[in-house]
Amino acid sequence: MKVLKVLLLTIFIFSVVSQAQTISDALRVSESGLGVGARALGMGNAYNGISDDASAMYFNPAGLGLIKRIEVAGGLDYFNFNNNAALYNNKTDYSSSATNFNQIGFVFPFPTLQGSLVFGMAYNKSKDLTSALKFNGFNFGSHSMIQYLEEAKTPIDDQSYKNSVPYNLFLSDDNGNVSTINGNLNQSGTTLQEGGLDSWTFSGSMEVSKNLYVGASLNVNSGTFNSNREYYEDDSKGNYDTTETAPGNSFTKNFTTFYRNDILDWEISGWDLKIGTLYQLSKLARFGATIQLPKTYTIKETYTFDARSEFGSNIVDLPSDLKDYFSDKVEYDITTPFVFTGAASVTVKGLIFSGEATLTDYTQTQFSNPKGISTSYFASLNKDMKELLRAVAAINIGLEYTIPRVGVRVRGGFISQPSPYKGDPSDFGRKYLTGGIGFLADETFAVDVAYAHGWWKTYGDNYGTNLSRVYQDITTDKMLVTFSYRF
Amino acid sequence: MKALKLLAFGITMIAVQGCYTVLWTPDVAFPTKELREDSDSFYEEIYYGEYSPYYEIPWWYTIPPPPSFVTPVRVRDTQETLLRSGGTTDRGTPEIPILLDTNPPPPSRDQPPSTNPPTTDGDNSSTKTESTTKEREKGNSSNSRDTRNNDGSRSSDTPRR
Repeated sequence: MKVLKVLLLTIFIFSVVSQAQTISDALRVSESGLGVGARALGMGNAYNGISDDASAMYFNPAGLGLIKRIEVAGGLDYFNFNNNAALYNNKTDYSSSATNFNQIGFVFPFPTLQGSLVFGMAYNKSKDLTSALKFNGFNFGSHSMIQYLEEAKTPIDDQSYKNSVPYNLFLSDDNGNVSTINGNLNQSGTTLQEGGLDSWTFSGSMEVSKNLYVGASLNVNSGTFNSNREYYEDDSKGNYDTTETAPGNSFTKNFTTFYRNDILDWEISGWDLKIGTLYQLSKLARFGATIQLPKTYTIKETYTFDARSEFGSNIVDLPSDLKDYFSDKVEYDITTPFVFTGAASVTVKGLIFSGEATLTDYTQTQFSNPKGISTSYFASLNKDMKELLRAVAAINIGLEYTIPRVGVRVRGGFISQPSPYKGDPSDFGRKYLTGGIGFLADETFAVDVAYAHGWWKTYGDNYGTNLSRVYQDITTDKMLVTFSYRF
Repeated sequence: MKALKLLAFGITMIAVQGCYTVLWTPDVAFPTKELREDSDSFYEEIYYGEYSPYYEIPWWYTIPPPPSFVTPVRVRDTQETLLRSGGTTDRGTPEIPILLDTNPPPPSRDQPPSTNPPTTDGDNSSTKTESTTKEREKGNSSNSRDTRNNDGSRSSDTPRR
């Protein structure tokens, strides 16, 4: 535990002065999203062992070989992220939502005398990165972000404090020491994140032996991510009404507010390959297996920093040259680990049971190819991921029943994705309950609707380790509609 | 690089084993339901209703096969060709009796099958016409009516005179 704290502290010291990369950045693109296709989501994404529509390109490309008619599919989703956050036992609710195209796909089976050869291409929105956080609580402790920024200044030379945030905002003495502020401030803030991971997928599948299919998907990935974090420390109890925060500067009496704003923009690109196989056992069952080869995402990152302090009616902005000093543009790669999935589905009199297990060893996640970042920092970060993360097995189970006379299908499912952090309790793992319904008209036009409710816990530190910790109860709701037409 | 190696391995394995799938090519009969060997059905109609054809019936079962691979179409083409040429048996002689047998013409008041008198004109053109008419009387009867109704062929004008 002590080792963990030291590591977290090290990471944070790097991240205070400028927006350094963190384990969270790697997990943002490594952890799987809720995927594509309403039928799949309604069945808890336990779909690798079914995969007989356009979403096979995402789940198990081998399943494409099961498609016998030309298919055009499209989908739209609504995603809502709700965060009930507690800082010093004071809870604040906040949410954010997004609506996106989930999927546009085309599948073409070639006429065969025997077996199957099917190709497809699709646009898939594989993960929504929308999130929200709002917190507000009074810190009775003797620490604050202002003090932490002073502690984090790099002692390269005696004059380094002149580039520190507290010094330039008149929150320290002339030597850069924050000697007059000693906690007891109200801390509040919001973080809004948006964006998503998209891919253009090109897939093919072939029946290589009777009822045995092999397929592959080449994904050309892209995406965006934007994070806007605003953080405030306010003297809500008047503790600093008569204190000059920068001794000798009388206008610094009546300190009211410290504010910082961190904006992070990512442009994401990359490619990856997924291969799969699927075997249909007579009319009874299907067995699927996929290997998601490591994805390499190239991140072009722009970080913008701003800060100010307020003293009564006086406002001190951070000088523009220092804003530029703390802001930066960098580029680097994140490589995600192998992902192995085994799946099965069974049909019994109109009822389909499906389940799958997915193994992901997050310790294999890596940062590489830094441009504008020190290589040693990435080496340190990769070592931290080896020590702090773990391999986990995600479970998906699903059920679907078809009412044959009316052409309606009803579904339910459950998803469990354990937390990738070592030592996290089970309630820090992501869990989803899903449900859905499907209709078919004229044997050609299918409409599927799915709903997924997710919940998990997590926490984050505003600074230091467990000094200003925000505990978060997260719930998400996703509604997905998919239309597909088979010629 | 790992990805490429794995892909190359997979392709090699399939190539070595040989592939079960046989693609249809234009030089073989179109894969109708009777000709194609289907995989096992996961969605049996009794339990899945109209979802069964949605998943299980290949799209090429629902379209008319390409013309060049269906014999009846070829017969019809031959019929048109013969009749455009005036119904003579100079080309495609074997088909003519078959066409007559399969489509016996109904008696028509406008065009009784055997009441056309021979022409008495002495010019060459009349002789040719008579000759043509006799040929039709022998082998084609009033089938020219069908022909005109189909495509307005000029060759059918002569017998009506």
